[in-house]
Amino acid sequence: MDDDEDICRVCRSTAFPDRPLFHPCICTGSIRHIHQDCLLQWLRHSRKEYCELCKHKYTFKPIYSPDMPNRLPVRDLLKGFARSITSAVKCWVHYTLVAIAWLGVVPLTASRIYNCIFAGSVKVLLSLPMDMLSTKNITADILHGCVVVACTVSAFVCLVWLRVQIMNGDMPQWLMQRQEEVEVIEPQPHNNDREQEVNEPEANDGEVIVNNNNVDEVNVPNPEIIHEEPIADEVQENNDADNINWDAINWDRAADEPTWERFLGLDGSLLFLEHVFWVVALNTLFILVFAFCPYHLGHFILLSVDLNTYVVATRFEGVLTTLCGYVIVAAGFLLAHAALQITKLQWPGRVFGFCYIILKVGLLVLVEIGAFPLVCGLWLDICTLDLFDATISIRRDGYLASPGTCIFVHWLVGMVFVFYFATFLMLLREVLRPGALWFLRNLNDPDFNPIHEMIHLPIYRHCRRFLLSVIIFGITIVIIAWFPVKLIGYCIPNFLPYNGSAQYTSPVGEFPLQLLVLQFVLPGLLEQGHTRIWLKGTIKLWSKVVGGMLGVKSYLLGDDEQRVILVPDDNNNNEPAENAGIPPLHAQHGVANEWNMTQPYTAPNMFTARLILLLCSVSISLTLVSAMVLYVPVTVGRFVFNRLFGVHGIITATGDKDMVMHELYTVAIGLYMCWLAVRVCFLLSTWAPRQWSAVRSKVVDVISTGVKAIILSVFICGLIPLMMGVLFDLVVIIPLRVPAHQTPVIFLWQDWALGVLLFKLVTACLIFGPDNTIKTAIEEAYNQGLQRMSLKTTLTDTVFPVIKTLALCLTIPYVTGHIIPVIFSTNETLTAFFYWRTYPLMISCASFICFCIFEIKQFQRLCDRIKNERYLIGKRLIDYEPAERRT
Amino acid sequence: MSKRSKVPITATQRLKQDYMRLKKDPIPYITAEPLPSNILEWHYLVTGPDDTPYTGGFYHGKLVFPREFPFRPPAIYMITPSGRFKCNTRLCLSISDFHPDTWNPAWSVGTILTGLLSFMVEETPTLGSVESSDFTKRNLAVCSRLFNIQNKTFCELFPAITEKIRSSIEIRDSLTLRSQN
Repeated sequence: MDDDEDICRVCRSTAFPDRPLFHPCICTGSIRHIHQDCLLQWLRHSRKEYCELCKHKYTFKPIYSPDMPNRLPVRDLLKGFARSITSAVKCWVHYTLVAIAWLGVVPLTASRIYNCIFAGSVKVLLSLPMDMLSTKNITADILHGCVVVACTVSAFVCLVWLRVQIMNGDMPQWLMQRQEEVEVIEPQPHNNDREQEVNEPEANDGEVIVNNNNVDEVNVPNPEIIHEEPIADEVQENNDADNINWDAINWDRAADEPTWERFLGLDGSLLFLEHVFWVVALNTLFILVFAFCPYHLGHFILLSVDLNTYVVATRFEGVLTTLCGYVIVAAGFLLAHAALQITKLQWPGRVFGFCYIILKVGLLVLVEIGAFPLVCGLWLDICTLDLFDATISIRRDGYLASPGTCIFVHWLVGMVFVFYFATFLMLLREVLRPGALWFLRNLNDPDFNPIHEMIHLPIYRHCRRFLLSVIIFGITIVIIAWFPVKLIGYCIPNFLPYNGSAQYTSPVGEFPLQLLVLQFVLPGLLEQGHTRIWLKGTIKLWSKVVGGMLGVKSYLLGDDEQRVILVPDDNNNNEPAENAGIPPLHAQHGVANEWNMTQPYTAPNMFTARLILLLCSVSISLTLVSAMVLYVPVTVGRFVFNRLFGVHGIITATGDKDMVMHELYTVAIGLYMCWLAVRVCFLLSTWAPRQWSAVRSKVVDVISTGVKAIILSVFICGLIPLMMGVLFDLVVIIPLRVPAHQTPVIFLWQDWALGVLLFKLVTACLIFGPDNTIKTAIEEAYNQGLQRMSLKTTLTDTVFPVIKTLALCLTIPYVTGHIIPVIFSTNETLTAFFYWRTYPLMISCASFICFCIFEIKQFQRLCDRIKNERYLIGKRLIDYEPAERRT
Repeated sequence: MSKRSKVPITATQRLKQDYMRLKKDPIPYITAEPLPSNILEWHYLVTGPDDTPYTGGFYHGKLVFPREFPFRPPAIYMITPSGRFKCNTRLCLSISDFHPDTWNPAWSVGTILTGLLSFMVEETPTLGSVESSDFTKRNLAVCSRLFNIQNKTFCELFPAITEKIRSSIEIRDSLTLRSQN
């Protein structure tokens, strides 16, 4: 055994005179020693800096050449300085170029080309190159261009996605006449979608190659897709470029690791200029094909049928005309497809059919996402006119004044309504018997694929569905908005309308109420877990009571006594729905999957009548609930405000109109109060059945948690923000707003509110910023939760240091500011100056010193770098010495 | 000579050192020999340890070292059917080239083969492993002798063991012949 001789752990050879062995890490035994060059080689391979066994970080000592001067010569210093400045400038220039190209040139060209195309005259077209370079309305044009670019890019992405979707076996039957032809168009989805390629049988590839000569023909109608594919497919790797010969060059380039950085030019190469060119070309093409042509087509059609004046009157002439053009184009495609089908021209026919599907899906999406919420929002507005003391004519004036905003707001309101309605339906579905809501679509259904349906179902089915939805939503809106508003107006005539304008004054004027609402009230309300459970419980209770009364409990909730058997509703023979004359929509839902299962129920006699009664009671309950929701929180909120600040929620006849709160606050406060009340009731109800001792321990628990929370919040929500706000006020606001000879007044409330904002900002910065002690402390406290949190450690670790720093910042300038006048016994003006200007002065001094220290450090690093570049001749491993031996 | 110049000096030296060490302190159940023509390809022979289904089996396989050897892990193959690994397939182990991230240059041929053997007697699945019953494994262990001596490289590299297997097979054959007679 030659164990007594040390060997290198990498190359297993012994020490040589020129290659001594080191022991740089904690490892001992046969792997203790290593050659420096072996280690360096390994570190190069493994890209690590530490030993992979003991995790000890290797340290090296720089070796400088013996002729190194003690102080660097000025020439070297200047040279190094110049070099780093040049590289910084170069970097800056490159990034500026990138920014100008993407944020300036691309939108600008898009916007100018757009304007030029739509100006429609040859003269403008000829002067386009000059227009491009003009500096007139450059900002507006860039903003406009951003919208245009966003539209074209999203249109492009949607097109590609839809295309993949259709190709991905989602082709409707009437388009799939001959199987093999379907596969000829396949090569593009291949490149778009890796997963799909995996799913496809290998045989397709063969087909593609065989039919290669047909590919060009297929793609003629939508050439823009061909051109732009390398840009869209950023993540594309080792593709099978040989399938498509005309794409081979593009694919090869795309193959060498295309990333967003490379595409946008952030990696330092100038290749992105080419991409800029492509994007501009794509934009132009898209504007031409997808905006210009449909617009003019629509324009001519509208002119020819004399509808143009109406369209212009709506203030959305462009959009409507373009839509009209699209409809015409879609019809044209369909006709062309049919005609070519008859004349047995398979190829072009299929292409036209394909384009028709794309257009159809696009238009349907627009209707579903755009028109439907808009209709809902408008209808909701009309139904609640009384609530805001508005009339149709006021709304019309609003529309004429700002059509875009008006439409957008209505659309948004409608969208929110639709969303919440759908959420409510989903909740209903969880409570009720499976199958009770057969007439509504199940959004949780895994088979529910709207795009798939849009591709497959014919247009009239969509129209019918759309009409049905509009009717259902319209009736619902009438029930939950119009009726309650009328009801309230009838029963409590003084209550309405809500105040939509903020006219509050003195006592609350200083109080930053918006902030209060945004920071404290809304987050509390948004805590949804309990709300959902309560809502479910309420619905269950309601259906039990009403179902019991009407004898349709079994229909609503199912039969509890029986074992629940899930039966697909087609096989469900004893279901009396058919007898009850329920619409034939039913049949569509007969897909036998578990989501569309229904549970059988026993039908009592006079089932139809009972169901009608049920519907009536549903509407009555909804109306009542909605009226309650509209009435109770506002009343509570108005009451609270009235009591607290003497502000009236109602515009009283006496005319103290200036004492009126914005209804937003009353609603918020009222909701919060109601929520608190319900929460307390809920807690009490859970405690009620328990024993006294259990309740007492629970109460003690809650109280201790509450005390903890109060102490913490006094510090975190009270003291720290207050100090921050005052400091900010003293440092920034007072020097800016108050002249030097005046004595500023500090409004503590405002400072506190400001401090809350600042505090939130600072905390967010800390949490998203790099690691530091405060961040870890905050995270730890957050993970522990309020109940298990140790108050003492939180206070000592996090809160007190922060308070200490802030207090120092506040007091040191104060003391200095008061001492200086005493020492130098200055006159009054100067004294005031010193009192109030010491804060900004000292803070700027401190930051200046910090800046200097930072700069000195930077300079030292620069010197080190220069020294390393010029005089460093090697590095030497430092042996690991155990701590005790070292001391 | 050209081959020698292609293989970096570190890998050659290191493998030589490993070989000498292996000869000096043999590891139980394991023998390994490099190809005379290429030092980067080693053939190993693992004898099935007692108390395992592999008892009595001879498992022949190869390690293919990269040219950057001590800095990159080798590929591990097993040639003899064992019921544990697929034949002639790169095995995915933390010490094989599937995981260059967990490799450590302090590991030697001996450690790699010990690791392989200990992994082999476990049941943990990995890429390149197969599942089979103990019965199959025992059967394969018996068959492995005959399988190995049909491999030319095996016979060249492990002549002593080949001879042993041959003689034992002859004895068995003669015994069976005799019993048949």
